Amino acid sequence: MSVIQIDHVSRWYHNVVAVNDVSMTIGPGVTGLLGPNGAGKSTLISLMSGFLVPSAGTVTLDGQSVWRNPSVYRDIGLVPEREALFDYLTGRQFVHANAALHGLPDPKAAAQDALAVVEMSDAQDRVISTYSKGMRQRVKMASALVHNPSVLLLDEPFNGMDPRQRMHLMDLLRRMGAEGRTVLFSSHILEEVEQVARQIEVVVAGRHAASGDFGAIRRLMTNRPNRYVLRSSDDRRLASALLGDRSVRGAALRPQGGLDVEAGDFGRFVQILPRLARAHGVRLLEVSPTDESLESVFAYLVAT
Amino acid sequence: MNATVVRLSARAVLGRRRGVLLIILPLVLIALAVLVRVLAGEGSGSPQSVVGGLGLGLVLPLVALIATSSMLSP
Repeated sequence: MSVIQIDHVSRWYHNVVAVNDVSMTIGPGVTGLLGPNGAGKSTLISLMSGFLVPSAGTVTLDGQSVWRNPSVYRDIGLVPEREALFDYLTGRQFVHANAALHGLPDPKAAAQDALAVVEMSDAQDRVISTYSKGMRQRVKMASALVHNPSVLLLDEPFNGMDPRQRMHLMDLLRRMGAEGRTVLFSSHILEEVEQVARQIEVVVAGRHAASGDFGAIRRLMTNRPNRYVLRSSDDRRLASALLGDRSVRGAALRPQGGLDVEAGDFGRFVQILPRLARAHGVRLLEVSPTDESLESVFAYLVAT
Repeated sequence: MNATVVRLSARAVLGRRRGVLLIILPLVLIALAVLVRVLAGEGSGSPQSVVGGLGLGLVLPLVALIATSSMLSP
């Protein structure tokens, strides 16, 4: 049972702040690190794996600092996002080299076991340059697992994978979490994260925006005020009907026609809108959300 | 020295197409020196200047660059 403790950690590059006063605890089980591109997820993973020194604050693994402490690598397995593998080696040679570098007593057996865990035994004697994206990801995973670490850190592991490879890796991560390992993976897709992780940490613009059970994060994201543009056969009548319902915070007629609506309760709004329109004899011509981008969802989380 | 690192480095330098360059470049230099020796005759000192100028000034840094970059980048 390993616990990573990030305590008021900041990291800046000259005048650019990549991570800003982040504190979080990553315990056993699968944790998803969620955030848009450029939010500081990779920097956080580099800090957790001891490859970057924090500009302020501390990162510890079971109470030991991870910076300049090679002994932590007995417990940490890292799957980086970069595809810099030794392409001219076979999968087996690559994983075996990692096992040997860890000084394992039987590197050959350890490599075979790790390749079996990621189901790469059949392709282990092929040269890495011939592997698909998913196979490369799995061979990286095997090399991270070869010394049986209690902590597994994965940076954007699902990037570029096809749905089948994605499902396979998700199963693998769930299995690792169920075994009691501390598994942390980063992603910018909420749906992807909530399929694997119960615990989610949200990072936006270098700040820790939210933390908790995926249900709570999902509620936070869907209960935010949503803005829509509606066009109907009678905008004025529809506006007055909508304002009568508690799910709507505001409605304004647009000069060029149409209606700007801000809904406070997304779930209720999408249910009552067609009912109200029908009850008042108004025909809906267009319903379009104006701030559905992931960035706007994250921006809302930061503001709350 | 770590045996695994040495093995990986050897594969990186010699096990790929660019490893062939490490042999071809010195061979070209030797061939050039022999050619100059044959054309200029004995005692002219030209083969030495080919090895000195071209060898130390161009071939050696090039071979060193290819070898080290092969080892550093996977």
